[in-house]
Parts: sequence; structure tokens; C-alpha cells
Amino acid sequence: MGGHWYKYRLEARMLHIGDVFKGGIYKPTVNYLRATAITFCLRRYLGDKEIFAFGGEIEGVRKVMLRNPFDRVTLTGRTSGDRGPVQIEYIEDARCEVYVNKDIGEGIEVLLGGFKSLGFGLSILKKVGEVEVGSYGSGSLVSAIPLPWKDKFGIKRVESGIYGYLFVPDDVDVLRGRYVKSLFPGSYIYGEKVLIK
Amino acid sequence: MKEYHPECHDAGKLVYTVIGGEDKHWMFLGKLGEPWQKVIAQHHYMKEDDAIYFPSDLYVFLSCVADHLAASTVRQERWKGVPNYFTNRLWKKEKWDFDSYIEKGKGLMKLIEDIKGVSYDDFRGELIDYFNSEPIDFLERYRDVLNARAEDVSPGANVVSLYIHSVVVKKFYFLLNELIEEGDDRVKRLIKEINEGIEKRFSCDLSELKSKLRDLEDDLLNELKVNVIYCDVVIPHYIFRVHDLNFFREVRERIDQIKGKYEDNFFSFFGYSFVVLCGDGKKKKIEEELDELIRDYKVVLRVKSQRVQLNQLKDLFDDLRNKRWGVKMVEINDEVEGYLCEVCRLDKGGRYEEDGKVVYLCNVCYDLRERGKARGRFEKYASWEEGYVCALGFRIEFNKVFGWFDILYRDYVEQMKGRGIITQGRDELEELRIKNPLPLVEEFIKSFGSDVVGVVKGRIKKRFGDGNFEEVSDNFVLVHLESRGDVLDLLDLVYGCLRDEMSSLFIDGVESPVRIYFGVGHIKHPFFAFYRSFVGEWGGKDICLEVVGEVPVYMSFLQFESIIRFKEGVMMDFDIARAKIHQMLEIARVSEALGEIAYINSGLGNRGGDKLIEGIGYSGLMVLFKIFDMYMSREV
Repeated sequence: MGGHWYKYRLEARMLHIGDVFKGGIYKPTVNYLRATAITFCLRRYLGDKEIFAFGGEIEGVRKVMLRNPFDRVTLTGRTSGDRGPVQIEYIEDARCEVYVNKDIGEGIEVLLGGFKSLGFGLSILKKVGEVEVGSYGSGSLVSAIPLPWKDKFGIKRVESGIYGYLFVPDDVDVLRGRYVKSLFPGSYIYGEKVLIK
Repeated sequence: MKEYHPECHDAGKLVYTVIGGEDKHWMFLGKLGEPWQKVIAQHHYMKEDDAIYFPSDLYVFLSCVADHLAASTVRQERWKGVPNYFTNRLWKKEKWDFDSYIEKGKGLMKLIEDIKGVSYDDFRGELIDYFNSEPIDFLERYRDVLNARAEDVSPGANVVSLYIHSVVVKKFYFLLNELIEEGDDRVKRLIKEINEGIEKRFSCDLSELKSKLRDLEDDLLNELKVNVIYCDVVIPHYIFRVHDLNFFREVRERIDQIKGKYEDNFFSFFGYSFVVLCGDGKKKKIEEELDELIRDYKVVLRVKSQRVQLNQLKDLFDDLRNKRWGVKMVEINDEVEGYLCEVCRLDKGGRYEEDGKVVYLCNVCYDLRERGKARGRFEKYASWEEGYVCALGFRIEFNKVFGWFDILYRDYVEQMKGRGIITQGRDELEELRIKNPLPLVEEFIKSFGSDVVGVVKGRIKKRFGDGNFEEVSDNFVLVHLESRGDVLDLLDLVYGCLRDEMSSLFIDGVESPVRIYFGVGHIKHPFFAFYRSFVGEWGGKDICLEVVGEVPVYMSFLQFESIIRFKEGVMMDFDIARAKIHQMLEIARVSEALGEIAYINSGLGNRGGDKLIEGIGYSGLMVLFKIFDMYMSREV
């Protein structure tokens, strides 16, 4: 990593960071900004594959929107089956701290998370400061970070890990990819202080 | 082989009418042949200078040590007052009985006659006969009277029942045996000295021997170290099919199996949480069993473990509270290509067809689902097609229990002093304290499980009908509601039970260890979403009311009580109340906004928001009033 973490403040009116699962009508959101979501979002906007970023806990009010998909053939709302009304959980007035390994400017507007076509995810990132790399401590991890990125984020030691998988898209085709073993919030680590609470 | 049955050690307390055991001729004189008779006789007549009643071997001596370990309060010789034979449970403040069963010499008789419905003499005769043969079912046979009778009747100490005390002594007795067996040379030397002392009992000064044995006991308890493991089993699966609820059932059955194997090592068992006390050998075995549980079900184990001296158990829960959680979970591969298992998301999912749909499941989850289908016990939940469901869950946070007991106990002692029941040591309140929290925790869990959770379940079935009630586990149930507003009936029902049986929860400024979750959603709302909120963090609040689609409302027990009272007022004339509520909500909204501005202006922080809200907050109030509205609309 470089010499600094660039600290940004993310604000979004409605944000859905999907907790992917198969099960029909309910689409839950998580309340932290995982590293893969913000990293690949910024890489897509800035075209820089060396960017690494993560976010902490997302503050805001958790709500559910009922959305009934529209059938363009019959010109009616779908009511049954897998394509019936969906409940989209989202965070209203979402606020979150984001740390990026590169200076991406004073402010940037990005589309982040799921259901972008429904108006979710329009977010503004504003620079609020810089934190020097190299200040370490032990504590509970605030974000979800793929294990192969551990060194990039300055995680020196995992003392008690909560593991799961995060989806990492291919470089060439973003719709394809693989699931990578990752550390999840609540894991106890020794690493950069910005990563822990 | 005949056993010692240390759980019977206090049997005399069922028939004593006078403290100190003056009524010594009722039992066992000339009947000291059986090991359990030796344990009882030694225990009751230790104060007599008679070598016949002195511990006759190491195991009798250890039952005595176990009894000392299991004493829940520090006995204060200087404290005088009237003995009370009735157990006053600390969490039942409004049921504390300071008047009954305290008549000197008659209190126990009255208690036994009230409970057993037979004369005291008949009861005594029957009990003495009982101990002629091996007392294999002592705890079950005398459960009712053991439950009512306090272990220690001296002023301020009648907070643990004789039943729980006997159970804990039995566990400590076996624990001591286990620790001694794997003890080092120093422990072996101490045991040798104890054995030598016991052998000399007929040929030396007994008071000197007693004092020597007391010193040896202290040394032994300093030397023996016990492993304390506090476990919380969390099921992280994405359960949205009814058959997958089988996870809860099977995991619980496996935990029960482990508990069955190590019965005497398991303490404080509630829901999917438990505390284990064991030596190094059993620790390894229990850990192996738990590892197997993790492998077989992919559950996550939150663990805090500690190795402590046996005489430092009083600090146990403080130590555990300050320790951080460790996490144990199944090993997962570095990468997965293709699809993840839909249920656990911790392994690659194989492709299966189910009712014409393609599903991706790992072997473990597929097997569990198939076994769930075969067992098919959650039929009621599966049959609910319309309406809403309320998930009702109960949790106990063990590491908060002790701090709570400490406060309740001080309150109890204050009340006794105020009533003149304790007549000396007025300025020495700090000296009367809880010595070992484990018996109290056991007593509390037993009481919470049967008097609150059990009663709530019964009342739900009565109020909503058996067909609308599904028990996922003993601390998590589902209730079928016609309207979301019906959750108010559930709140009322739970409040009623808590008020009756756990009135000490409603004390201002005291953090309780009880957590109650109400989650209301459409019948199709995935189960895991409720369960995640249930096991999640609630910002230190006691109750979580979550209506899907609305902001979760977190409340303390006092706020819960206010809501119930407020509801009663509102329901009397809802139309008038509705207008007033709108005004009130508006005031709450503006106040909250002004509060945030004031907070920001004060320079104390730059994002007040939710951090400002100490109480329920505007959005929480809004949710509650929406529920009121739904409740009233339902009846129109």
C-alpha cells in the first residue's frame, strides 16, 4: 500500500448492499460496506485496477420497499411466483466512512450496490482527510475483506476469524467470477487501526 | 457399587426445625453403614465433637468441600435475625416473602404441611425410611419441598433453593473428583495429608484436626484449577424453507447428547448457550464433541474460555464479561467456482432439482433438508398460508447475570434491614455479598425457563390456538397472526408473565441479562431474517420489536412497561387518542431535530442522529403507534 489511507465520507439517499441469497421475495441488505463492493465500484468509475477500498458500518434507517415488477406484455403488475412483488430492504439516508488507498479527488458521485435501476445506490463520496498507514492495533474488523487482499489492507494477524465468501469478478468479464474466502465483520484482527473498532 | 449421593447431603434440612441440628437423634444414629448415610451424618453433625460423625473417608470429605464451594452467599456470623425457610428468588421482588415460614421451630413444619399436604411427623418418618435404601431419586422425589425450602435460612441468605443447591453440590463433587484425579504431585500430596488426617480422627484432638483439614481444604482449592467454557451456538444459515428449520432441532439434539454425556460439567444451560466447568481431560473431549458439532452442522460457536482457581469462582462472570469472544467455525476452501450452497453459503453447492426448481446445496445442507422433510414436524408453520407471523425469542446474557444479581441482592438485604429482619451489622452491608454466582444463575435459568418462557408458551396456545403456535426451539417460537396489530396481544401477554414472575426486571437503571425479541412480518418473510435480528446487537436494550418494513424499536423493560400502560389508555378511546398521538409525534419529531441541531452546535460531534436517542425516539414511537392503529383497525 502507499503511505496514506484517504478518508471519504459516503452519503446516499437509499442504499442496498445485498446480502445475496436465493429465496424469493425478500432482498436483505447488510449494514457494512464490504471491500469488494466499493473497490470494484471505484475501479469501474476510475479505470484504475490498483485501487483498494473498504467501508465501515453504514449508519442510517433500515427500511423495506415493496416493489412489484411490471409485466410489459400484459401491462400489469406480476403477483405470484418467483417474479411476484419483492421486498427490498435498504438503508435510508445512508452514511458511511470509506477508506481508499489512492487519492481519488475531493468528491465523486458513484452508483453503488443493488437495484440501481430502481433509483438505489446514488452515492456521493467526499474527501474528509488522510490517515497515515502503519498505525496498528487489535480489535473487531468493521468491514468484509477478501483474504487474498489481507496484506493490501494491512491485516497482520487474524486472531479469531469469521469467514465466508465474497464474489470477486473476473478482470475481463465482470459478470463472471469466483467466490473468495473472506473475513467478515466481527473477526478479531491485529492490523491497521482504520480497519477496527 | 453403592454411591455417595452428595446431592442428599442436606437431607436433614428437610426435617430440622431448629438451626444448628439440636434435633440430632432423628436419624442415622447407629446407621452409618451406607456411604450416603455417612455423607448426611457428617454434614449435619460436623459441629459435634464426635469422631463417629467426622468424615470417614476422602469422598465424604469432598462432599463437604463441594458444599462449601456451592454456598451462594457469604455467611455472616454477626448478622442476627429471624430465619426464613422460604426461598425468596431475587428476580421476584414483588413476591419476596418476609413474613411466612419464619416462626421459630415451626416455619419448616408449616412449609412442609403446606406443600406436601401431610403432617410434618408423617413426612419425617417417610424420609427417614427412604434413606435406608439407596436414594437414587432423591431430587425428583422431594423436588417440590426442596424447591420451596431455602438452602440457607439465616437472615439475608435464603435466596437459593435447597433443590438447586443440591444439584450444584452434586456437580461440584464430581468436578472435584475429576480435578483431583488429574491433579499434579502437589494435589496428590494434599490428598495424602487429608487421608492421613481422616484416619487419625479417633486418636487425636478433633478441634485441631478440624482446623488442619480446613487449611488443607483451602490449599486444595487454591491448587485445583478448572476450565470454564462459555459457549453460544449460532446458526448462521440462510433458512427460508420450513424443512430447513430442522437445523435448529438437530443442533439442539446434538447439544443435548453432549450434555447427556457430561451432565455434571454442564451449568447454566438455556437455549443454545451454556457454561461448562471441567478439568483438562474432559475439556479436550468436550471440545472434540463441539468440533464435531461444527463440522456436522456448520454452526458458529462463540466461545469464551478461562482457567481459574476453584476458590476464585466468584469472579467467574466478571472475568468472562471482560474477555472477548473467540469464534470457532468450519474450515472453508480458499475459493469456490460456480454456485455457493444456498443455505450455508460456506461450501460449493451441488445442483439438485426440487419440485421442478433447481437448487444448489452442499452435502451437509442437502442431507439436513432431506432429514427435515422425513421428520416433518413443523407442519403447522408450513400450513399457514395467509396473514403474518411473529417470531418470539428469549435470550439470557450470562455475562450480565452476575452484575444484576449483585444489585438485586443489595436491594433485598436493604429491605430486610428496613423491616428489622436483620438486626445487626447495619453498617456492614458490603460484607453480605454473593460468594458464588453459579447456584443463583442455575436457579434463575430454571425459574426463567419454567415460570416465564413455559407460561408464555402456554398462554399463547390458549390465546391464539395450538394450530397457530410453532416451537422452533425451547427459546424461539413462531405465532401465526391475522393482523400485524395482534402483536400487541403478544406484548401484553409477555408483559403479564414478566410482571408476575420477574418483577425485578422493571427496576430503573439496572441492566438486566434478559433479552426478548418480537419480530413481525408477512407469513412468507424468511425465517433467517428474524433469527439474525434475534442474535444480533441491540445497543444494550432488553427488548427488540421489529416490524418488517419499519425501523426496529429497542426498549428497556421500563419503556416496555410504559408502552403497555400507554396502550391501555389509548385503547379506551382511540379516536380521541389518535389526534393527540399525532400532536405528540409532531412534538417528538421536532424535538429530535432540535436535539440534533443542539448536539451539532455544541461541538461534541458532527453526526448526532441515532446516537442522540437514548429512549425509543421519534421513528420508534411512529412504529408503535402504527401498530396501535393496526390493532384498532383490526377490530372495526
